[in-house]
Amino acid sequence: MQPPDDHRYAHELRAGEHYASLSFRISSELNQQYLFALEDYGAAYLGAADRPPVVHPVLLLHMSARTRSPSFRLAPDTGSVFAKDTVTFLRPALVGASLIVHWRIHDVYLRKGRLYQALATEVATADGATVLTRDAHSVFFTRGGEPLSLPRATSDG
Amino acid sequence: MDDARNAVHRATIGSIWRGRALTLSLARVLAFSGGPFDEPGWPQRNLHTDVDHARAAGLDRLIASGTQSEGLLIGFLIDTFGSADWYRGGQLDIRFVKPVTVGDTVRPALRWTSRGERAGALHVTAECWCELEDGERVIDGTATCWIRLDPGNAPQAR
Repeated sequence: MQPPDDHRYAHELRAGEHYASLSFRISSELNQQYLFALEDYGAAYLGAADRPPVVHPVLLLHMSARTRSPSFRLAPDTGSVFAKDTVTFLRPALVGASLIVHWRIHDVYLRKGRLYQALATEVATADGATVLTRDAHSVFFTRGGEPLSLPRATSDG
Repeated sequence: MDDARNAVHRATIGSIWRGRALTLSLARVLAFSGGPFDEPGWPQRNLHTDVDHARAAGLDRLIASGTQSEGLLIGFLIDTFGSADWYRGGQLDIRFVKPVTVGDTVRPALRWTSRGERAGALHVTAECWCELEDGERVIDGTATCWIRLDPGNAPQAR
């Protein structure tokens, strides 16, 4: 886990390292905000008297983006966007339920002069049941187009 | 057998199904990328919501989060496969091939590529994508799902 006193930027982290985990709950209001964002008002997402609403899956993706980690920091004049994403859905999440996201960097690589970071991500319930797993690759870019280099290994590993 | 299972059973390999189009208006992009409505200072300023942030990141205009189009695609897949089976190991593997500018209209689609029966379930795969109005793809990928033939008596895919 990236400790609180580790102020490295996202593009400086190496394979095997983790972003700090995030615990969260999705409220009905936030869920409905995302239903509006997608104009997707399926009955399951709205719930009923005997059935709590299901969290729209895009909100789980949104909350499991590495930018949501408390330890994620972009260097000035840099940005990062998704390049590819593999998501496996294992169970629905319910509005109001306690959820947690874990991120582990499993690869850092250069392609066509650009720096990529691959993350193994898991969203789980409070009792440890996996809601979804995700293998997301992001590419970093700089304002001026200057290339970013692979992070160097430090003396302790 | 519910409607989604019926539809998948009837699907012809090679046929293309399209979902509903959605214009990623500024309001919908702000709702998606601006943080919770009740957060002080809403919307959060980032490269999806603020021109200065976008410029600072080297972009000349606001782009929607790729996840927003991905969400549209996932909603379409859930409607197609049925939520009960999708949440038992449904998988989406995609690449983001082109940014979506605020105001663009995006539509999800799939083309059935295979269907095979095994262990009491249909294993179906489809090429899937999101496209702009001119047909240019912004997301490209593959979806796979196990559709249980007998929902009460089939193993979970994963």
